[in-house]
Amino acid sequence: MGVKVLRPQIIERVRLLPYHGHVDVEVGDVVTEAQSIAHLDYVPATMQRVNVAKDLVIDPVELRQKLLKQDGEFVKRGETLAASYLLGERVCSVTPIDGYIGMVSRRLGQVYIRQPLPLGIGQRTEIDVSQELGVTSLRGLLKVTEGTRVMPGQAIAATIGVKPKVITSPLFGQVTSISGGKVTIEPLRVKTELRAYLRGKVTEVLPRQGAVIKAYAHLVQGQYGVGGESGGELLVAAEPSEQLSLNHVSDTWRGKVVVAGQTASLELLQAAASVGCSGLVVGHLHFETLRSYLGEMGTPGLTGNEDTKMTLILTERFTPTSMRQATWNRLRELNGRYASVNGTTHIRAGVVRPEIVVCESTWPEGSQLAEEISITELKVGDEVRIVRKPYRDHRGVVLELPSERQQIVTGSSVQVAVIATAEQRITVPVSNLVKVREEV
Amino acid sequence: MVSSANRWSVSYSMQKYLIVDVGSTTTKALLIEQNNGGWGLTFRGEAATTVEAPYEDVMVGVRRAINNIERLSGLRLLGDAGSDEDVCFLATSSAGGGLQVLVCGLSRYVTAESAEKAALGAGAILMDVIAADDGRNLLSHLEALRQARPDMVLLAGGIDTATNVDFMVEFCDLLNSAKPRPRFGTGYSLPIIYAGCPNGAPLAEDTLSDEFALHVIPNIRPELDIENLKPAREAIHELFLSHVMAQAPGYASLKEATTAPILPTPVAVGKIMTQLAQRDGIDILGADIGGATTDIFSVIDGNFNRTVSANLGMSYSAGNVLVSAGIGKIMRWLPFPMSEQELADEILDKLVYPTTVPATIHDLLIEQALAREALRLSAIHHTSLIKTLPKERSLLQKALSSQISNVNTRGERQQMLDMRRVELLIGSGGVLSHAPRRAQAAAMLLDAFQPKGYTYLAVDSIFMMPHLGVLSELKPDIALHVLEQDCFIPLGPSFSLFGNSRQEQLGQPALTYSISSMDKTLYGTMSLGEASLLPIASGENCRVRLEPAASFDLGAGLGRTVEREATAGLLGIVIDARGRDWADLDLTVEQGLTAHTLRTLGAYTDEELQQAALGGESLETADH
Repeated sequence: MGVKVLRPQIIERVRLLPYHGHVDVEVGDVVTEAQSIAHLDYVPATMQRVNVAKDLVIDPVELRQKLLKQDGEFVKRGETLAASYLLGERVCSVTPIDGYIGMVSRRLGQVYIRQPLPLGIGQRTEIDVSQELGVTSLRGLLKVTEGTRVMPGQAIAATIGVKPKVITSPLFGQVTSISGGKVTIEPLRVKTELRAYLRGKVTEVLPRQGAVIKAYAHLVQGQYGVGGESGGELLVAAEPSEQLSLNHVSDTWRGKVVVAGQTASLELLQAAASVGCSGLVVGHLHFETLRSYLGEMGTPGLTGNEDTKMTLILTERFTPTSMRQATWNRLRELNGRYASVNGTTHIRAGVVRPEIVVCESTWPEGSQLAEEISITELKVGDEVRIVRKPYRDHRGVVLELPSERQQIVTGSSVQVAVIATAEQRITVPVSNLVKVREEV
Repeated sequence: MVSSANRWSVSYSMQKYLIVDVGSTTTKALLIEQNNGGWGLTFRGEAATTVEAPYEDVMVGVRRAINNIERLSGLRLLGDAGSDEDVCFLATSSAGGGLQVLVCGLSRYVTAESAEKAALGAGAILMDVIAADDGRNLLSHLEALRQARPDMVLLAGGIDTATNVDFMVEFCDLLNSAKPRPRFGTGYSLPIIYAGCPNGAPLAEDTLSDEFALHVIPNIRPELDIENLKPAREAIHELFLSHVMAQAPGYASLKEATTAPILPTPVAVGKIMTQLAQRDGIDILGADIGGATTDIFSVIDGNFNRTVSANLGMSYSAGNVLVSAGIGKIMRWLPFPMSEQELADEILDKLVYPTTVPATIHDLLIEQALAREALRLSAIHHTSLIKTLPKERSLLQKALSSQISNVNTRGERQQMLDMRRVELLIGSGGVLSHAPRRAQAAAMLLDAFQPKGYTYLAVDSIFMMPHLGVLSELKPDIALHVLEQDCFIPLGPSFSLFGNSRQEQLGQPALTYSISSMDKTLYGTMSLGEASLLPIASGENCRVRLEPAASFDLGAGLGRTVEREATAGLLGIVIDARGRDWADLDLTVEQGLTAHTLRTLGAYTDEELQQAALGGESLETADH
């Protein structure tokens, strides 16, 4: 549960493209963090049905025999998909769009063409849905909410009736606003290149999907983050309990992972993002600041897909606190080195926490992949930190671990530990402790 | 552990019932036997569930849990040499993420909804509900299928007279293309249950049989106004046992060892609730709130319903409760002022450290406020799904309307859950079952579910309902007896006033009451905004007479007197005259009502509330 700040060790990351594409490395290749190791040819957008059996006037089950193209093959608009003879005349079925053959129906006689998404295009689009549908209220008609990701051709809203009128999205994007009968869609950036993320070796290639990279690296785990992967030179710009003002943000932050001390204001986050800062690391951040920065918040326990240019990592929590000295010290040691960061946080079973990774170029002889650190059972003599009120952030040593549950001030009976802090001897629920040894 | 099939005898005249529920994290074993002439829970044992690595054998945890009972009881219930006892062994399971089902139907609010209800009622966790009109395009459907790792797929679509089966066939094509892999095991085919229109069955068979284990069952929605959920529920259960359980690590041994089929945990809960509702002729509402999800169960007119709110819970989903409810809704359940920023940060800290427990009254009140909103939102979700079917249309109407236009009769459908008719409200899950004071659980139930009129409040002491559900298949009388004796903590009857209320009415006379027990009669009047706890000894039968003011209702109609028998619970009898259906209340007024309720119900003392208002950082628990 506690944040981990680990000495250099062998780590491994599975790198995957979002869709099938081309892998550009081989097993044994040495790669650097920002190196592209795989790329997408295209991102599939919509699937369009072509009723080939109807075009050819054949039984749908005969379709396979008449096809001239294979599954996965690229076809250009107007190209013949299948051909047959009808009363001695050759009849053809052609594709109405450019795309890949995605699926062939066994019973419907249809071929589905998967249209590639034109990448890197699309502009912020505002659709006056009320006007286009000719209604005064959109209540019950919208198919999307703010935050919904949409693909071209996906229904935004539809009228009710035998022949509903449907408004579709013209682009691959995210609904950012629904107001006054208008729906605004911002185009989503799609990364077509997969970077190595680690400086290390390719140990496995996953055909059309990606690769496994191993590296010898320093790993600092945060408690919470947003934004996906990023990277840049690590810049420790503040002391652990310092709060930077806007004046500290400058162009020198561009492309860097900045350690900004205790916390950040909304204005500082926006300024850092606008100068092109790759990642920002703070001790805590108010939730409302985070929410305002992101614009919209999906599921707070499941992050990483936010459409934000700057990755954000909290090393501690949301309520006010400084960055822990041990974490800051390690980051300070790594100041000036290239750091890969990932804000992805999944707080569920199989927990994923955000991370800052700094890779070494050379590996000690005989290095083995580090075992996952498992949280071991608490023992008498362990050094612990309390993570919940009333003794939050106090540290101490476990003196006793009574076997029977004890009643605490709330009236609950829980498993407790007796802790000796620098000042006193206190009784604390075991659930509210993290082992310091496992943190650093 | 079990070397031969059914080590435990299958005779139904058993003297002991050993029942385990294998949960995601904990395996709980209970021993139910005759004790002082009656049946009751005598011993229980727990152990960590061992479905995941490093054990990957459910029986390790089952054996440990039973070993704990053996140690406590001195009985020999298992072992290589066999059991000394005449024991019937039963089991329920929700381990390994429960039973995960992908649902597909033609129309989101017709066949897909029926399939969703059938799957939820069969104890499933829904991975997705895909429908032709769900707003997603074909590619999105394909991607959803690719990413899913379900235990099975439930495919519905079209009423019996449907002739156009293109969507259904197209969905079969999508399944063939996506080839979703089953969650457990290799070398076996993913089960697909076809519960669509009869015309589509041969096509589905032709399209899917090569790659999947297809099971064709009667149409889940033969008519627009008729649902037929039972065959789908039975098929899911049968496949759960024959496929999923057979693949999950160690379940083959567990299956072999049990006297009766293993039930998915939610199914077992449904069985015991239905038994109770049918015996007493009442509607029941239940909630099980966990860290990540909240299950809501109801039995309405003898029919069991279940919904799962996947992102509403007390720890892993704490942040989502905040985002979904809004900070103001949570704030109103706190009896003290607090900044929105501070409250939001405290809730998000729980997300960051999900396994921590509140160690101050201040923190406990925040968690209980969060629980009220998680429960309230889950109940809204339940209500939105449990609706009457569209009314049957005339032949002319049917002839004139397409299926699509029929779908759009959603607006005509009525909610089936009517809080005026719910006579038993059961809370389960740590925050309710283990609330330090029972009055806190009662306050949470009243605030979250806003019952109307008479409702008996109870909490499940140790989440025994799954165990008793599987027992009720064999011995309903014993199961119901133990349910009432050992499982339910009877908080007591509540009488809740409702009717449109406005803030300026606060303090106006709302009702008068007289409650006659064996040795006394309590009289009183209450104003709008008050709650009252009448100190009647637990188990004592009373005659309750309540007369609401003309503009208020206690279940019999506006201004109409309610008179009935009621049995006092551990708290006594609760009269809640805070009203329901408020137009708008100021936050400070709402917090004042909360503070008043917590005090009068005995959930917190004045001193505790004062202490909590000071914040949570005081070191009051210091052990110098």
